[in-house]
Amino acid sequence: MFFNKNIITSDDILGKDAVDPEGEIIGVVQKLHIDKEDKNIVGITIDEGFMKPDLFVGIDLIRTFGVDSILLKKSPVDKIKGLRVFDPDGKDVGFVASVIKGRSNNVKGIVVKNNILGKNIMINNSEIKQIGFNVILKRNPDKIKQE
Amino acid sequence: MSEIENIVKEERKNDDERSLKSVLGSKVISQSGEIVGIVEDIVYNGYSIKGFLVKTPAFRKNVFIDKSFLDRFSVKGVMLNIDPVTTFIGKVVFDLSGRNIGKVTKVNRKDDLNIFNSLTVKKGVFGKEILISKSYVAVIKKNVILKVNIKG
Repeated sequence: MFFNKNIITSDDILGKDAVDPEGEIIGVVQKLHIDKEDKNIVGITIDEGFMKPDLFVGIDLIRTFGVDSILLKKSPVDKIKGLRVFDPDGKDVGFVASVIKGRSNNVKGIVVKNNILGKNIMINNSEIKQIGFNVILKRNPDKIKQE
Repeated sequence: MSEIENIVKEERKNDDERSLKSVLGSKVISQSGEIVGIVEDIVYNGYSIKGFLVKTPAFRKNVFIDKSFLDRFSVKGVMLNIDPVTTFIGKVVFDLSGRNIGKVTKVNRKDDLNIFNSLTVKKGVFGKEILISKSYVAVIKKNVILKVNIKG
């Protein structure tokens, strides 16, 4: 039987962690999507966990089908949902309720919810200092609203 | 709050003043938004503050952070202008091929600077310890991704 070390099977992909370029484990690969005409893999579905919708990632965004994980080329924009939002003084403003996406699927802004029953605050990308483990704003949201 | 009597040498403008006691227990947040721990104590020498003692999660040692790494501090939180290298402990390490080679158990530094030379990585309780040079590290954010493949 011809052996090609570059050939892997679905067992080598399904159930593996999907890891974004920041090293974050986004979820577990649940499905392979195959074009039945070309017979090529066109993408994967990632199970992001309880209460989160499944995420489809196109084959172009997959960097490596690795031994223990699938490495992605890009971080899904929606992963910042649920992150805490702090003002420059470290005050906890709320959490990211939703992401406003730009045309190229980048972060154009975020909607911040103060708590479960709180009102929403829309924050433009220009007011965001840092998006990492959490979101840090450049200014106090009260000052942003006044303009 | 009860009124305070002042005893000063010249007129006191207390707009920018903050009580140190109110900072105790505040969150300490790194440059990339990670909650490093909470302020446990304030360290001073003579008349000036040297830094903060930060109580961190159980699997990491408590850490002293020099005041020069403070961006801002208030009763709401203490903002750092660095990502302390001590926060790397516990992060998962993936090599270039996506192999999970273990977790960071130790950050090896020169002196007490916020610069690391290498990471000690171990997989599981009985796994062998591997020393990863800083030059092999591509990304350290939520976890660690290396530039190279590690045989194992």
